[in-house]
Parts: sequence; C-alpha cells; structure tokens
Amino acid sequence: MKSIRYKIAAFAVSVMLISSCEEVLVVKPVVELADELALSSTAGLDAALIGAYNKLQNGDLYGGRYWVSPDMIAGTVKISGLQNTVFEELQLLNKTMSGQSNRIVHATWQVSYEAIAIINQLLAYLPDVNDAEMTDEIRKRLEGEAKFLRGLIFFEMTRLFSFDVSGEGPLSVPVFTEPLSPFDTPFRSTVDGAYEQIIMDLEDAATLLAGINTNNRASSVGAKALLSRVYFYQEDWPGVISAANYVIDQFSGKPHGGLANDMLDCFQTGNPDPEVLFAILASAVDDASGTLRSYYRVASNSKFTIPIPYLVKIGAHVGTHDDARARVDHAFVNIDGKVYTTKFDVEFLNVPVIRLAEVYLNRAEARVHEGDPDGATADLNVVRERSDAGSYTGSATLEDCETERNIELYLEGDYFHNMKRLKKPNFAVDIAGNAYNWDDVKLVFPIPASQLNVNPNLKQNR
Amino acid sequence: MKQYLLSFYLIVIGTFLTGMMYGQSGIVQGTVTDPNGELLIGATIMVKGTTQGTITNSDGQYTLVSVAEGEVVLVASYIGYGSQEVTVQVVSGKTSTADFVLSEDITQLDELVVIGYGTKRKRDITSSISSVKAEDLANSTQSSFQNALQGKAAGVQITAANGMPGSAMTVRIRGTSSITSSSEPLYVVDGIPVITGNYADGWADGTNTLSALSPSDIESIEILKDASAAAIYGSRSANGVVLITTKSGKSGQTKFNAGYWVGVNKITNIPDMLNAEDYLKYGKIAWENSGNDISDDYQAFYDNLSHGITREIADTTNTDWIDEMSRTGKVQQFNLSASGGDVKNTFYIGGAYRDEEGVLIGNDYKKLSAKINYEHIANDVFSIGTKNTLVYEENRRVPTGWAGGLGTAQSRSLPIMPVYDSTGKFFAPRSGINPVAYDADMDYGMNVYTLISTIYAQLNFTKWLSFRSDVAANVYNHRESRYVGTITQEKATSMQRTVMLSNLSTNNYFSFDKSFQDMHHVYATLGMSVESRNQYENLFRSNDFPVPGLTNPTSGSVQSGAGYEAGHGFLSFFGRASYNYSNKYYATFSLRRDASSRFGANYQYGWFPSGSAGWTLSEESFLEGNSVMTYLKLRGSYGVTGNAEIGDFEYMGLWRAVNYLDSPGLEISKVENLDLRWERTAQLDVGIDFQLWNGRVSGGFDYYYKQTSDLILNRPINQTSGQSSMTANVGDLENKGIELFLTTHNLPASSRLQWETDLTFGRNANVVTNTDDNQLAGENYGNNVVAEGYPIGTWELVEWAGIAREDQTATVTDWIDFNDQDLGTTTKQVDILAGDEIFYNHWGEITNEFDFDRDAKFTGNPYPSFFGGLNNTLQWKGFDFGIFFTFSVGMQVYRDDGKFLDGGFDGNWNQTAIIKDSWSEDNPNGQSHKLYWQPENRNFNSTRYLDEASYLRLKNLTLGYTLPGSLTNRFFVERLRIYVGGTNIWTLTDYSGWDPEVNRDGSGNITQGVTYLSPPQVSTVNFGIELDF
Repeated sequence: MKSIRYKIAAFAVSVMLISSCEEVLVVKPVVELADELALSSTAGLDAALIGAYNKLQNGDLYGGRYWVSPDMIAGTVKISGLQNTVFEELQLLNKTMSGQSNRIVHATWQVSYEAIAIINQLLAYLPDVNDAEMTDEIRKRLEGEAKFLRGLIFFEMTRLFSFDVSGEGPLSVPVFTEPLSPFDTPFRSTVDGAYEQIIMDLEDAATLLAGINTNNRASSVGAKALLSRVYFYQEDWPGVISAANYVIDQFSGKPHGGLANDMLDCFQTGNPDPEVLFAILASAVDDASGTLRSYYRVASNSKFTIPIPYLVKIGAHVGTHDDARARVDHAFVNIDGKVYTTKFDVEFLNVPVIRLAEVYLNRAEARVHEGDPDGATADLNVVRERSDAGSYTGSATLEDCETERNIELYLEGDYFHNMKRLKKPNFAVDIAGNAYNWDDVKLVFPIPASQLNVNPNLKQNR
Repeated sequence: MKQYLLSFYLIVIGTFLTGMMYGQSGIVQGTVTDPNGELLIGATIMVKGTTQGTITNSDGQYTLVSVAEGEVVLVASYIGYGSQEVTVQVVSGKTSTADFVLSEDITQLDELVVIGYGTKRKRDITSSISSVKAEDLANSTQSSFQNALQGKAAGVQITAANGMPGSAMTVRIRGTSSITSSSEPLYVVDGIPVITGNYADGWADGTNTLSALSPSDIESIEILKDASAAAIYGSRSANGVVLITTKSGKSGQTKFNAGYWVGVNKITNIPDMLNAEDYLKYGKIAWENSGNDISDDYQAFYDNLSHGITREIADTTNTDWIDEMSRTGKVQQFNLSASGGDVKNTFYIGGAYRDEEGVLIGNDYKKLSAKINYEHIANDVFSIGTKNTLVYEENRRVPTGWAGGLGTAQSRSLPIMPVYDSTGKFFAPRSGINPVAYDADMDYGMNVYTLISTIYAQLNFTKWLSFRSDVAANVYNHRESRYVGTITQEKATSMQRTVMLSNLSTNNYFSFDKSFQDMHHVYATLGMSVESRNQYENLFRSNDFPVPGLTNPTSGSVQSGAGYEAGHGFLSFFGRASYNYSNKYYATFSLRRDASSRFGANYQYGWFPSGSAGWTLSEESFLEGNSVMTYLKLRGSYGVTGNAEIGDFEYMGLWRAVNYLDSPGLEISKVENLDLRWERTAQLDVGIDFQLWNGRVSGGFDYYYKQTSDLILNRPINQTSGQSSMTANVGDLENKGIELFLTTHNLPASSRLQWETDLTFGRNANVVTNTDDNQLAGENYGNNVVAEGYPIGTWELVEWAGIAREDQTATVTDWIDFNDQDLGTTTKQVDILAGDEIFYNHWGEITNEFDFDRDAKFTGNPYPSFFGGLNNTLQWKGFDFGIFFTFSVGMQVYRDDGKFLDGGFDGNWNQTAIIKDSWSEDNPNGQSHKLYWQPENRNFNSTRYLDEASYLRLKNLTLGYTLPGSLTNRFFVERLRIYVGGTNIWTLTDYSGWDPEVNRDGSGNITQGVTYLSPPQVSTVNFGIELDF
C-alpha cells in the first residue's frame, strides 16, 4: 500500500513539472504587429507609406489645422457663435498659445513627428528589404514618396514654429532623417538648414518619382509644385521660376492654362481635379477633412465666419461681383448678416494641398522680382480669367501679386505665412482687435512644454 | 413523533440490557441542543477524564452505556459551539438523564479560515485577514455580493458606481496602489482566479462581471490584506486578494433551504430642478441681464429658445423629465438550495433567480444562476470533486450621460419641452433628444453568460501529507445589442458586440501538516499554478434599414465592424512554511515566483517573498487564566507583492493597421520597453488580535504601511521618436493606515435577549510620492489628476472665491508672457461686476478671469480619510432585528455637470433650483452668480463644484420573526422566518447632488469621485420569507 502511495506522489510531482508549460508565456499580439515584423517586407514598407499619408489626414495636419491654425493666428476668421470655441482655439485667436496646455500646438508637433518617424523608419529599412516583390521601380517610388512627404511636413513645421530665439538667426524644429529613439535629444535646426533638407527631399522626390503622374499621391509634378512654394518662401526667385516652369509646362495647351473651370472644382470629393497637384483624400469611409469642415462648412454650423476687414481686402464685402471668388452665393454665402465661405461645403472634400493656381501666383511674384512684370501679368491673368475676374493690363506690381494671392488662396493657410514673409506690420489681429507685428513671438507656435521637459536641447520661442 | 417512539424504544431496551449485563455501571442519556432548541447532530459527549464517549444521533440524542457508578462529569462539544460540562449522578443499573444546551462559541478561535491554497485555524493566523460569513451577507438586497460586503471588512472600501443592477464596483483594499494598472483586488473563487472588470462598451455605465455570483451560494469571503496573507498570490496580490468559498454539502440528512423576497426600489434622492414656470422666469431674467431685446413681451427670448420650442409650447408645457424617466422599481429574488450527502458523497445544489425592474425607465435586470458542488471520497487516500457556477444575466440597459435616459432628463430636457407634440407624436427637439421617445425607439440589451467550473482531486498520502490538483475554466461571454429606430433619427442604427473571455487555470500543490511532540507544529505548502487567458471581441454595426422590424445589423445597408483579441499567461511556483510552538510562537514564510507573458525577457520573472510572526501572549504564564484578557496575540508581517494588471503587450514595440481611403497601412503604435517589470508593493503590517471575557468582546487592530514602487506610467518621451509616451516603471506611491474591528456581545450568553455589535473602521492616507515630474491626466480642467505630494486622483482646479458683492476694479498680478515665467510679473486692472463669479489667481488675488495653467491648484481627495460600518443585531425569542450603518468621511465629489446645471443657462440645459438664489440687485446675498443667457465661457470648472461628500448611511435595516419550531415542524418545516428589510433607507450628508456614493468611471484609479449626470443610488424596501426543511 505504501509503495503505491509513493508512486502516486511521484506521479503528482511529474504532473506538476509537465504542466509547467512555458508556452503560456508566449502570447503574440494579432491586432498589432511587433516592430521587427512590420517593416521587413515590401508589403510592410508600402503599408508604412500609407500610414504616413494617413497621418497627413489628421485634423491637426492637412485634415484641418495646418491651414486653420495660421488663419486663426492671422485673424482671417471670426467666431460665428454657432459652435463652442474651445480654449485652445481662443488662445490662437488671441495669440496667447500656451506651450503648457494648448492642445493644438501639442498635436501639431506630435502628429507631424509621428509621420516623420514612420517615414524615417521606412527609409532606414528600405535598403535591407530584398524580397521577391521588391523591384528598383518600387524602391524608387517608396523612397520618392517618403521624401516628398518628409519635405512637406518639415516645411509646414518650419513655417509654424520658427523663431530667432537667441539673436543668432531663426531656428526651425529638429530636422533629421534617421529614426530617433525616445532618448535621443535633437537640437533645433537652423531655418536655413531646415530649408536645405526640405529642398533636398523634394528635389530627390521629383527625380525618383519621374514618370509617376497622379495627384492623389506624391508625384514629380507635385514635388516641383511644392518646390515652387518652398523657393517662394525662401525668396529664391530663379528657383521659383524654374520649378514653376516645370509644373506649368505639363499643362501647356490646356484651357485656362490647366486650371479648373471653377476654383471650387478643386474642393470636391472623389478624384481631384487636375488643377490639384497633390491632395489629401477623403471619403465617407475615411473622412479626412472633417476637422476642416467643422470650422467652415455651412451645413455643419461653421465655427468661423469671414471677418469684414478680410472681406474688404478681397473685395467681396459689397455688391455683386463678376469675380467668382468673391461672389455671394457662389464662393460666399450670407446668412443673417454673417458671411461664410463655401470653399469647404462639400461633404468629404479632398484637401488640395497645392493647386496649379498657386504655382502661377508663385511664378508671377518671382517674375516681378526678376524683372519680368509682363510675364507676371500673364500669370495673374490666367488665375483671374478662370474666375471671370477680368484681366490686368500693363505691368503687374508686387501689390497685385499679393492681392491676387489673398483672394485666390484665402483660408488655404497661405495668408499668414505670406504676411510674415512680407514683414507686414500689425497684420495679425486678435478678437479684441489688437494688432500684432509680423515678428511678434506671439504669432509663433511655442515648443510644447512636455517636449522641453524631456529634451533639454530644445530652446523655447521667446 | 418518530423521535419520541425512538427514545422510548431506546430507554426501554437500554435500561433492560444494561441492567442485565453490567452490574456496577449505569446509563446516561439525553439531548444536545442549541439555545434555540435546535437539536445538534453529531455533537460529542465524553466522560471527563476518560476516553469513553459517543456522539448524538440524527435526532440529537445520545446514550452512554456502562458509565461507572458515582458522580461523573460529562462534557459535550460541537464545532462552532462552546463545550459544556454537566455533572450527573450515575446509579448502577439505572438510567440517568443529562441534557446539554450548547451556546455558540463566540471565541471562534478554532474556526477554520480560508487562506491562499489552504485553510488555517483562526488562532494560528499571523497575517491580516478579514473573514465574512454567509449570514453577514444575507440581508443585502443588491445584485452584487460586493454591495453586501460594504462596511463589513475593516479597511476595505467599496463603492458602487451607481444604483443600477449589475453596475461596476470599486473595491479598494488598503487604498489605491496603482495609477495605471488595476487597483482592484484579485478575486479567487474556490481557489481559482476569476475574470473581473467591466467589458461593456462605453455607451452606458460600466458593468461588473462578478454580479454573476449569487450571494446565497457563498459560504464565506476572506479578504487577504497584508503581504503575508496575499503574497502567495505574487504578482497579482498588491491590491489584496478576495477569496470566495462557495457552499458545499455535509453528510447527513438532505437539507433544503428556500428563500423569496420582493421589494420596491426608489431613487435615494432627487435634486430639485426648475419647473417650466421658473425656467421661463429665470430664463427671462438671464436674457435681460445679457442685454437682450425684451420688447414685445420677450418675443426675442422665446424666438431664441432651443430645441424648436415655440412661445406657445413654452407657455403651456410643464414636464418633469426626471419623473418621466424614473419610476418605482420592483425587485424579487428567489433561491432554493439542497445540500447533504452520505459518508462518501456530499453535494450542494443551489439555484437563484432575480428579477429587477430598475428605477430608470428601460433598465431591467434578470439573473438566473445554478450552482453544483459535489465531492466524492473514494477512500482514505483519494477524493475528487467539482464546483460549478453557471449564470445567465439579462441586462436591459439605458444610455449614460446626456446620450439618453436619466442623464438627458436632468440636462438637455427642458421643462418647457413637451413629451408629445400637438398631434400626439413624440415631440422631436431640433437638437438633442426626447428621452421618452428615445427609450421607446431603442432596444438596448446585454446578455451575459458566465461559467466558473473546477474539477479537483486530492490525494492523502499520509495523515500529514496530501496533494491537491485543481483544473478550472472560467468563461465570461456577453453579447450587447443596441437598435435605435426611426422615431428619433432619420436612419435606424444597429450594433451588436460580443465579448468572450476565457481563463483556463490549474493549481497543483502539496500540503504538509504535522505536529511533533505536541509542541512543534509545521504546516507547509508547495506547488505551482498555470493560468492562460484569452479575450476576443467583435463589433458589428450598420445603419439604414429597409423597414422597421429588421433590427439585426445584417439587415442594414451600410455595415462596418471591428474586432480585438489579446491574451496572456502566468506560470507560477509558490511555497509557504509555517511553524507554531505550543500555540504560542508563530512564524510563517512564503515565496512565490511568477512569470508572465506580459513582460519582456529582461524582467519576465519576479520573486515575491513574505514573512510574518506572531506571539500569543495569553498563552504565557503572566496572562494564562486571566479572566479579562482571555486572548491576546501580537503579530507582524512584511512582504513584497506585485501588480501585473496591465495591458497584454505593453512592453512590445508595435505597429498597428490603419487605412488611407481604400489602402491598408501601418503606423507605429507603441515603442518597445524590454525593461518593463512588475509594480512592487512592499508592505509592513503590525497588529493585535484580542478577546476579553472569553469573547464577549473581541477585535483586532492593524497598522500598515504600503510602499509601491516601479509604478507603470506612460512616461512622456521625445516625440521625435514618433510616439508621445512609453510604458515604463517610473512612479512611487504609498498608503498608510489603521484598521480596527470590534465585536461585542452586549448581554450575557444566558440572556434571552441577545445583542451583538460589530464595528469596522478603516483609515487610509494615500500620497503619490514620485511621478517622474509627470503630471498625469491633467490635460482637461476639472478632471482628477496625479500629482506628487497629493493623493491619487486629487483635482486640479481654480479656487472659487464666491460671488462679487459690488462693482470694483481690482489690480491683479500677471506673468508678462505666460511661456516666459522668468521674465517676471506685471499688473493689470480687471473690472469685476457685482454678481460675477470670482476666483483666486496664482497670487491669491481675487479676479473674475483666470488662466487655468497659471491659477489652478491641487485640491481635494476622492478617497475618504476614514470609513467603515456599524452593525447591531438583536435576538429575542423568535424575533431578530438588525440595523447596519455605513460611514465614509472626508472625501469630495466633483460635480462635473455643476457648471452647466448651476447657472450655466446655455439654453440647452435645465438648471437646478439653486439659481433661484442668484445674485441680483434685489438679492445681493444670493449664493449663485448673476444669471446670463448663453454666457460665453462662463461654464468654469472651479472648486465651486467640489462638494464635501461625507456620509452616514443606514445601509440596512431588518426585522424578522422565526416561527416556533414546534409549530412549523408539523408541516415538516424545520425553520420558517419572515422578515421586512430596507437598504439605503436614510443618508446623512451635505452633498448637494443626487447621492454622495457615486463614481462616473467604475474602477479607474484616477477618475474617482466624479459625477457627470451619473445615475443615482437606489433604496429598497423588501419583504421576504426563508424556509429550511
């Protein structure tokens, strides 16, 4: 009897040891994917690229606030009262953006870098992926698209965050091209250094994407169009003309110089009009422009109306207009004495990041600077005539170029940056009507305080 | 009748036989009963000083034959009862009678207490364990057993999120020991860790998986509080462990127990809201104060009314929406059980049914549960058994907040808004919803299936060594479905969500229990356990249905879905050794080694040691025989426990799927941290257990100090890495406190009136000592935050200074530029108008405008500074009376809805009656600010809405009567008790909202003590009957 009991005891011990199965300690996530698996294939890299595009859809990027934030700071919008304005927005409108708590500032920084991180990871893994699907063509496309997006994002961040902190020249945000770990503490790049990288990325993209002709993904024409904008903001006029020429040449012989029949055709859902050179897309399933529409779409109770001074500026305040861009019940609508834009009224509209019209306007100003005012007149007229705005005669001036930009690109996030470029005194207004000079630090996004805490190398704008 | 015959037979036969066969001895016989006259079966009767003895038969009678002639002392004893000695004169050849009445053993020192992987006598315990018995849970009318535990265990704070059946519970044992991981205890049912928490979607308030357990099936609940008791559960024990033991059968006659009660439910307290007349009156004042047009008898005001309410409607409507959306609920509960068995087989079968019609329109709850416990003892070596709980719950739910239901009724439903329009159809407000219409339009239910099933086998190798193996499956499965038709919206919407969790586990362990030389006692356990958890979720929804009646999402034209799955495993080895010298000196040491899939290779394993020691002073010569201090034990323990209740893949670097239009993409979702490890809690406990006058007064006192380190927080990182935070061990916090429990038997055991008083008291102070300079969850105003030097969940709020009584221009300090604090300060003028809300700024100056970042302070504590319960039970003849109070003192509740309800007047929300006392020139001392219509940015969060929420509550009141056994026995009923009772019937509090016991977010650590249109608590009055047969 006793021996049986010991046998049972031995059996019990072995049951314990056998059932001490270590496999319960290995549980693989299936809703998410571990790092090393994600980017080790062509399919993974392709998906990461899509992930970067998806980031650009974010409400704080081209989903809305890459455009709305500068317009809020400039004061080209006014609270409609139809929706609650949250305190982050009030801070932008009043130029009191807090680096501590302004969620818009935080998110703009954060999501931009989320996209940059995906792109840099993709580019870091790209040389090592050599599976059956990978071809030279695909490798070039992946690299080109990634660099296109990186250049575009660093450009937007540079425009929002740059300031001369120490008197030794303006600083941009940290600009880098390798994946960074949570413990890397990069310095802010100089604005010149940032532009150098942005231009390098976009030039590379233009080369690598040669032959790819699309406006719903990155393309060489899109890259050149962005270059015309980047050079424009750098005031590198020959650069503007060269990049713009490349873009405009693609449309030679087209009616309206390649522009859409109606500017509003660029603010539609579905396939973007050819005038749009690069768009962030939206659909009912993937609503990219919801944030943008919440600010401006009349049917969604626009948060903002257009203030009278800006209407005066673009000549849309009184009477009827031939200019379609200033015509009430076309580009504007007047409800109970408040004027709203209709640019963003289409549900699930694509966000036209850059349009051909802007390229014409970029080239027009460059031509004035380069001593070709008649050429500038021609460029401005291409844009004007499409909207039945009549034609300029004689030589275009810089003021003409500025006015035309204000009308054509209003609420597309250009006005604020252009006024700063032109060093305009007291152009930005707050809710109470106080005006701010172009170089006022209050017009610059502060560096998020949380990032100053974790990175001692960052210097606050002040 | 039968027993009389039997007695007669025995007496006759006995007398005859003994008289014949034995010369110098006699017979003693008699009965053993409890003080109520209940016969005790199996009681032992010994002749003192000999080994001669017997036990009572199934009729509670005994017969001792051949008892030596002369004066003998007989001793009767029975488990759970004190022993009694009776002296009897034995005459040779004669039969003497000695009846015993045993009173309950109030010392209970030999009672067995369930501990982790075993049991121990109460007197041998050197750790801190609260033990709650079935009878202490019996009076609760609420659906979860946790409700019944409120106030019953010292230092265990239990809060029901609201009064809805099956709602989420917050249980905190010795404070909150984590910030981001769970702070709920580990629940172990019959040795098996079970699935806990809330898995419902966020559309309604949270639910509680443990509402499935029926209190009537529970034998006892042991709460392991200190490290020595809990550390045997290693990485899951930092928040304490709740051991639940379900009922099992005993050999003997089959016993049936049946109970039924029926009750009515009401909301404990309904706040005073404006009626239509007052809404218009004060609305017009606000309108005028805002400088609006009042010509044409306020026509412009009426035109401005929201929801499409016209002047005609407003002037002719008076809807009490809270009344429309609430009701007197009904609840009934029935339970039936049978238990018994023979020498080899014992069983317990229980069934329970609960049917509750909630106090909120549309909220109904049904529960049907079955319990089957069975054990077979094959021989003295081998036994096998099974314990099974099967539960079905049906919870018809109501949406939370202003998404519908009572939340909408108290906010966006204006008293000037009618339920029905002039055509008799539901009034359709232009914005928001008509909650009555919404309830009619909606079918929102949750069906829950729970299984907790264990099979165990035990091998007894020798009397002192055994091996036990448990294999268990715990399955929690629910399906939520929500259909909203076309009464309140253009297109019908439908959603179905299923959640399935399974937990497979096994425990295998040896137990060693041996005494040496009657002085050295060794008790040891050595074993291992494995646990594997899977979680699956599927969501299927659609909208736009062809016709009403098709409600399953498959019939909708636009369909979408989502899913989730995760899982984890634990592999553990554990051991414990206890040594006891002559019941005087005790020492226990335990060690557990846990490994979990939740941690990376660097820290996959963790060690959790603990030790404790005890000294029973009352066994020492200087106290032995002391008639006052009859029992006194000092004990102390120290140990390390862990917390692994984090997400399943927290340490991994991950990418997740996204889409850009039709293209699938990937983005970074998490950065890797291979150094992620268990949260550790080191706990010191010192305590005493004592009894005075043989248990007339008994109690215990504990002091504890818990230090938790390696708290897992989302540490902010450089966003240039692509992520904002990483999961890392960075924080520390501590809990310190005392606990006291006291039980007194206020009258002697011999008294016909019995009166027992139980007091539990717990005091806990929580402070967060390190967050790596990372203030958590403070991004939105008014929310609870975690800040160093403050209790977890304190609030960051601007301090309210009241109402300005006169116009004034104040000079206040300001930073020159908010981001540039080092540039110094400046001053500016602010114009304060009489009736404005005023606040203290950063410099303590009074102002009417503030900057949250600059001026907010940490203030308040959502956790009480002390809490507990006071219970009194009285018994006299057949009557029993119980009165049970709970108290909770020193915590605050933030009424997050207060800013909209108390003078917001945004035109969309109804207002509380407090605005009738708003400042005006005629009411210069009004306690609320001057009213404005749709004030811009006047809905400030501030300490104005931080309310003291201390309360004293009459939690339970019961009056019962047990019919005399002599009467009921005729109907084969052993016991019949009828009773009336009440739950939450009275509350003393200064809190101005619905009920001070409230919690917007079930079991979170940080968001505690916040209400935002949260459903209230309920009070119940019930009548019931209990039968044993």
